[in-house]
Amino acid sequence: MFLAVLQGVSELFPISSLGHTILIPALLRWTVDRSGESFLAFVVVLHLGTALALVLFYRREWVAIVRALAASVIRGKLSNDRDEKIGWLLVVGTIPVGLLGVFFQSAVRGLFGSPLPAAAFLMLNAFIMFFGEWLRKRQFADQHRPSKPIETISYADGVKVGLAQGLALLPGISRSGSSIVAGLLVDLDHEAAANYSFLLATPVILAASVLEIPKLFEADAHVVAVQAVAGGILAGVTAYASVAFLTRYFQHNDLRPFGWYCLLAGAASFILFATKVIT
Amino acid sequence: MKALAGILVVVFVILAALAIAHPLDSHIPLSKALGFANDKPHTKHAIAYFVLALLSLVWIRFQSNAAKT
Repeated sequence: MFLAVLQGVSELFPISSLGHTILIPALLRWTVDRSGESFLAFVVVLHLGTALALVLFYRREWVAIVRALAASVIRGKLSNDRDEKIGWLLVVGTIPVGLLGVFFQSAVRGLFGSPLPAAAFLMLNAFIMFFGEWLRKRQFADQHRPSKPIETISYADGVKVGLAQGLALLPGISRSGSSIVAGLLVDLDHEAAANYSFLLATPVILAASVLEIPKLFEADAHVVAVQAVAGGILAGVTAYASVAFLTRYFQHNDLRPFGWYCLLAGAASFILFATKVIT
Repeated sequence: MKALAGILVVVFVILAALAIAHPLDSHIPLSKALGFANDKPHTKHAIAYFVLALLSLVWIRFQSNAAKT
């Protein structure tokens, strides 16, 4: 249940869920067989719960976006419709992160899926957020680039945000953190960048969990069926509360508090693992 | 552009078929990353290639309409 809450919160807060699911069991000295069928099935359900919470939270937006996209394909022509533009931005933004995930996920997890690199990348995640905030302030003040709504960014900028989201393959780098920073750098304000980041994350998390559903039917998976269902519901509820909080938070606040958290948590973990206080 | 989109459809369908058949030895560089290695079925790669083929078809649709107008 602790893992379910951790997943629901850390998937959407810009603090890296993958980094936390590597670091916290190692810090607490849990012996988790991360490649075991029952654990993988459990993780699939947690992701499914998170994705469904996102779909539920943005249900009105998704209905409008899917309708606008379908109408655009049937018409065979792009229009000036806001939902249609956001829909195509999400499509072009999802392609790079989807391809990076399919092609490189296994290799990256194999190389960096241990506590020490995760701690180092968590510190890097902090610097990405600090640097993004600093750069956006400079753009705003020196180059007089005011914030603009999501539907006015270009498709090239949509691809850039999608590519930034791909950094989250590295354990410790946050999906929402990197895509919110990229959103800020293409002139979105914090609220719009966060909303765009969560909309962009939805198809990726949903596809990743749906594609893993066969793992639920493997031999040992049924052992954790009850825990998985309860965990999935808990992860969904926590994710819904997290996205509700974050969309309000980013109306008036920025990424720096999360940056400080990642810097301190990453540095403390790095020292503990590098000095072999925890092995 | 329409011809390019058409070529992309064919290429992605062939890549999807290769990911389903996964005929290559897993020691060949990039064969695992591209989903062609014979170590296990590469369903995710096949789906990704099919989605790209589908998006290329949508691109053809947009190009056809642009040519008419």
